[in-house]
Amino acid sequence: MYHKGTSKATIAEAKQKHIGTRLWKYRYLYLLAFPGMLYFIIFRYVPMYGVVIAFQDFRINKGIWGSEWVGLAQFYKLFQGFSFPTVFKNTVVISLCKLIFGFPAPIILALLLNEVKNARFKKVTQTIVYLPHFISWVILAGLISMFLHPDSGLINEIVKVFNNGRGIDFLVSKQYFRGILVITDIYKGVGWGSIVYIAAISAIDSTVYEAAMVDGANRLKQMWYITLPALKSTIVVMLILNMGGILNAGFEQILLLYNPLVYDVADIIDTYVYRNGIMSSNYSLSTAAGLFKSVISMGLIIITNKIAHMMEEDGLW
Amino acid sequence: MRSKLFHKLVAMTLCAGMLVGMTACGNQPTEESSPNEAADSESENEGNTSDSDLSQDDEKISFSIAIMNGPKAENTWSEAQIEEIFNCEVELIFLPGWEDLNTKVNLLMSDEAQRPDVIWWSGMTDEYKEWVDSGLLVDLVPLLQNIEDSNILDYYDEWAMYPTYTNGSIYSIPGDVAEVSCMGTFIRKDWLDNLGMQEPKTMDEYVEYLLACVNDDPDQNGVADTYGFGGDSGDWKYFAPFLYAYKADIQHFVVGDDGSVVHGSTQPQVKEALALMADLYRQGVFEPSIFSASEGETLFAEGKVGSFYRFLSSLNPSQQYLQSFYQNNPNGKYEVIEPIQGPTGFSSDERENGYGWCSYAITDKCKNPQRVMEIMDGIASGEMFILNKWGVEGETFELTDEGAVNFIVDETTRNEMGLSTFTGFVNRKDLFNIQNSQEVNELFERAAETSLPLQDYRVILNSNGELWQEYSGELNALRDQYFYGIIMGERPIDDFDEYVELFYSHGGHEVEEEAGLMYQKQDEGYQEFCQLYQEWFQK
Amino acid sequence: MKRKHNFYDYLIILVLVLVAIIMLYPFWHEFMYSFSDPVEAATGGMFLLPRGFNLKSYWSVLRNQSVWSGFKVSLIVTIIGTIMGVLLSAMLAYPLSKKDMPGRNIFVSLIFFTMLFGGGMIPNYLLVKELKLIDTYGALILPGLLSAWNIFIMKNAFSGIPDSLEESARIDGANDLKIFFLIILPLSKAVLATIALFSAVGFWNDYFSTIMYIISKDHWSLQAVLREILSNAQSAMSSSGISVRAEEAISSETVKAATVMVATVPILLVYPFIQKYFIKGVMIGSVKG
Repeated sequence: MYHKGTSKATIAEAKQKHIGTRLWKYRYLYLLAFPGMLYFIIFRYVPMYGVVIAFQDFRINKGIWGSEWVGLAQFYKLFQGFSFPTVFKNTVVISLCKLIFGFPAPIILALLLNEVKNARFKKVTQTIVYLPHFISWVILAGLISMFLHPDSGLINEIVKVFNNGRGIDFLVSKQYFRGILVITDIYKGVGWGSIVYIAAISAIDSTVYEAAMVDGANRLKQMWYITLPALKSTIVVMLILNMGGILNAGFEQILLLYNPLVYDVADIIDTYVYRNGIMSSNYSLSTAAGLFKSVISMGLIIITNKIAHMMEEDGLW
Repeated sequence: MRSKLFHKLVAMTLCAGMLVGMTACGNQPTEESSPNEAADSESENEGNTSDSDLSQDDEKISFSIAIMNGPKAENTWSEAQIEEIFNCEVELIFLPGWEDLNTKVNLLMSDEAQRPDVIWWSGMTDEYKEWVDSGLLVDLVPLLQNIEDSNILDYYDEWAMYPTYTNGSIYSIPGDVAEVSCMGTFIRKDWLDNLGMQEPKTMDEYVEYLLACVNDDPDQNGVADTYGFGGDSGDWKYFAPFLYAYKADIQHFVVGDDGSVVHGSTQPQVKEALALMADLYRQGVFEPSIFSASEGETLFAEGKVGSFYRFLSSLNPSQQYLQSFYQNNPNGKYEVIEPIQGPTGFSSDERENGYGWCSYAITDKCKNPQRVMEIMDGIASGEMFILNKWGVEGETFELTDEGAVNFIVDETTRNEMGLSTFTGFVNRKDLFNIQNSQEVNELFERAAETSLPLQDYRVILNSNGELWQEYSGELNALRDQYFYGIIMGERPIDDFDEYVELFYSHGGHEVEEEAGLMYQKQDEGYQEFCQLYQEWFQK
Repeated sequence: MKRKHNFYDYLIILVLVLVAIIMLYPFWHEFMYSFSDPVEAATGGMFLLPRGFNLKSYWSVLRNQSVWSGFKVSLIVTIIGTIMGVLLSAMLAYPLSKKDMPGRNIFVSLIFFTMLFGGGMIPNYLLVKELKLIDTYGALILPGLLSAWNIFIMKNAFSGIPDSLEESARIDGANDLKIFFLIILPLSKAVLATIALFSAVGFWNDYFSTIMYIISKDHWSLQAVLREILSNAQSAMSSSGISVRAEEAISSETVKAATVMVATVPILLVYPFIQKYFIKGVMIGSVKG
């Protein structure tokens, strides 16, 4: 070990002096990173100038530099629509519901899978639960409306038994619609989402469990005192990322499932912009909405990350 | 082999005069079908190119064309037919599905390197104007003037051509114009007989029939598994029997009692229609999925619903869903009745506006617009249309005794052949439309009459106003929310008044005013266009 | 260590079996539907077994030239894109895992920012156009080649590799390039396989690039072709209030189902083989940097 007291100054000095040599030392690493960074600059940063579209009445024939500048008009248009408050509320509510019910689901699934001792069964189950991730919403939406069909749907065959022979048209019911969104969202994502947790669990040293068993901890206790704490940092990271996506309530899913009867509870920013903008090629309005969402997301991520730090977690950065 | 088709065509030519020009421009005489031979020589030479082009007729040209219809397959039989007959090389540029169509068309038009010689679109009236303004489209008037015996001008009347009129000329051609009226009220004839009822004529009789369908086991299978009325979600026209009987036209501007232009959804009679529908909903008349799903065809095939408002062509024997229906219900029979009469005696079927729902145009990229226009005009001929859509009689299709097309090759083969690829550039509804059976043809003729009351009431605009474009998204959502809510009993009927209030406090006045102005101007504009049209083509 | 199964084990197994059945059912349904007779299937009510078993739908899909050409395009794009993507991601992620590399934090922030913010559809299109990639495979591959998310997963995985391994190599005179290609990459098969699958799924399921950047039909990806076949003519019809389109022939539901199977099966075939790497691969949570 060095002498801590004296080395500090010299290291700082050395840093100043040898910045060139330090860079040279890492030359191969820079070389490795170069193509990737170049890619990000060209394919991610260059197009960012495109947000100026949000302040224009963009016409594709005229291009970005030929279109008319309208200042904040697109934002006024977005916020002043009389259904915007409802739309904003729906977005947040649906997202939060998905977060509250959907976020723990993959953790629970991972914990359950962890408890399975038969390796073969475990593997087959895992393989199956990942599957829905690969089905597109287009196909899923078709299946969902078939299953929930008020007359012939499988679910309603069951409902009818308890409801005097009358089925419920779930997809036009304000009461049930958000529930359907949450459930189908979990359905599609739970398996895939569990991968990170399964990975984290598998990284836990098995000797810890053995020691706990020797101490007489039962399986519930093991789960509570060993597995969950080991997952904590993963959970925090995932939670922060999820918070950033709070204004993404699931555009494709909702677009394919909703109908005018449930606009009250299901219309989100994206579907609203889609109906009022994109259908008539209003790219400016959709860019404005995207910008608005990005800004909020960034704020949320930063705040959540702060909170994570305050709770003595590492957070994202 | 050809003779059957030929006979049919000859027989139908006799009544062609009746069919053509059904929606012809106000005081114009029905158009003559005689060719206008003078047009070519008398046209002022709009450009030297056109003359030289005419002389190059034999030279093989190649051009690219945007395609939306058909199986979207390359190097097909259909493509080869066009190339051979018109001595050209066609490059097909396939447009993506409906969801992404506008985006793709916009991108294609924005980039000179990609712009096809012939572009196709649906809707996009704003963009069309911009294209014309920025000189991306070719003026078609001189090109059409150079064509002897133009099929396009022969088939479309001034009314259909009017929406293409921009900046004092014609820059696009309608791709497909629907029959003036193509839907009707379907009922089950066999159920009527089982129930011992007469064909319903008034709303009271119709309601009685619908209730009987739910409650009196019309199919006599001893199970209460039938419904009164079914349809698709997403469009109010599927509820036409209830709405139109009350003269409630909630998706269009209409002429109000005082002659001003107002939105149909705000009119007091709408409330009555909604009250009736709410009542019927309470009594279980509606097939439950009518509000959430678009399964009209499936319901039609299952045969558990007493009445629909559907497309008349559903009765064509070649329809797969009709075949399924007969399989499921060997004794079943659908019948289309005349529109139901409301309490005031008003009745009408749904009416189309007579405009093209899609269009095509020749772009500035095209090196030889005259030849391309000639080819497009050739494609619009009746014979080419039959060849493109159904193929060759005896080889790909035959005509049934009823006179309707019956394919003799399967769907996959038809797709491989590329049939229907060019139907986006003409989809004739006259005597060359050989897919309809005699029965369906008669229904179309009747519907053209029974939909007239709506035509008088409805305000048809040839484009959307700016304000309408801005407000319509929210106003339509508002209407749907309130009206469906009322029908399904989630809102009291008096919420209709609240809707009217909200409609007017959120842009309703503005859009009505705009529509009124456009309606006035449109009439002038139309007269002006008819006059120009006369001068151009001497009709 | 072996324990004997108790009540909880059976309960857990029961729950998981139920979950698995629910997850599997849509596939089963689609699979069986694709074997059904189009006319009978149209009347609905199929739950477990096909109605009127036949192979017409598959015959019709396999005879469809567009499906084959789309298959080819998607295969090429997926293979090239995945290899390039994984390699470039790893090359970028490795330096980022070196905590003491000057400028590392700037790099990380730059990449992270792209997770939150993007230029949007039109600027991306203009970029591809400027790069002269329109209507080429490049347009299908490049815009989605790297993702910040994948790079961070890799970065964390690399951080987990003990420094001692690198140190001993360095003492033997290996430079960073050698260490990366000869030591780090071979040690990271799991994370590479995982990222490969992520990116392969991304490429395979991508349809939007085709819509935006592709013109000629022989460059259409399979998903774009699939979407075309699945495209719900009905909904487009009602949204524009146009009735005529009802006449247009739309593919029967069974053909749609068969198309879905054809497009999904390749992924289903590949991924169980990669799956064993998942567990080891996604180490994002276990190590942070």
